[in-house]
Amino acid sequence: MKTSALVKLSACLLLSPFVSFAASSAAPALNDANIAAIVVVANQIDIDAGKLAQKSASHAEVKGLGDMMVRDHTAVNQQAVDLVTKLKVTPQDNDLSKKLKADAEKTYDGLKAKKGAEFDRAYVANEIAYHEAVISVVETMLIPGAKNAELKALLQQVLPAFHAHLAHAKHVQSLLK
Amino acid sequence: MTLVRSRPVVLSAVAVLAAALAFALLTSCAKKDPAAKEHVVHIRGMLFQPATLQISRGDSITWINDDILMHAVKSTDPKNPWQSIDLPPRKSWTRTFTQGGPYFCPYHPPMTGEIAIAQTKNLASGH
Repeated sequence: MKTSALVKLSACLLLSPFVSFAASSAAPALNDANIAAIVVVANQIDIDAGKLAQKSASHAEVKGLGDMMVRDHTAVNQQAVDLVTKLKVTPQDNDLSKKLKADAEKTYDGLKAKKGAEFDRAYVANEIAYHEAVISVVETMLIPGAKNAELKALLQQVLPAFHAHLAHAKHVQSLLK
Repeated sequence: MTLVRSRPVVLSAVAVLAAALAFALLTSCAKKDPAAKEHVVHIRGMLFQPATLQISRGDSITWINDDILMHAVKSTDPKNPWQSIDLPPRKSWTRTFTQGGPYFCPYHPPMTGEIAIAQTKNLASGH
């Protein structure tokens, strides 16, 4: 299950064969510092993509989706940073956070090359796949793996927002067809 | 000399302020319907809870943001427009309603709610 979640996250996010990392190895044991790093990186990826949508989207609803992603993921990241600062936990990069960061740059470049309606479709499709994958990782890896109760609670509080983002992205996708 | 002259002025000012305060209190009490109720809607888990709220005309509703994200509430009825201030986490906002209708969170359009005004009580109370 954990490996499956990693495969999904890598496959949708990265547009590159990170699948091999997850598929060929057991899911890594994550400590709270690793989880904090993954949370910060995963949010930042979507903030960056959202900012690109704010600039490049042609459809008002796609721009609105980008606004929502920038605003909400920035807020989640701020709360995550505030929490780990309070807990004196320093986010610790790990194989997953590094791979996410590196491969997200490729996704970003791919989106940046698109214009108009093509960008709109690609961005929204990526948001749907991204949120499906992130929800899976949060549910199957990060929440079960979090040792600190406040970190676990934050992850649990974040989930409904990610589900709402996914539902809204699907709605926006339906408007583009 | 200055002190002697200023004492009556100060006393007069205090008296005026006290009268104004008393008037304001009396006025606000007089306007408030004693039968009006205060309702609470919690914003939690990207939902308005309860999503539909039955109230009587003149009741007030307080929205409390228990979520971790910024929310707001805004009427979707163009004939009855109203909108809250921004509600960061743990903030609340209260409004008194004479009309019902649907509303939503402008930051998260899929989040919707409904205020229903009970007709029977309104007729009985003459509102």
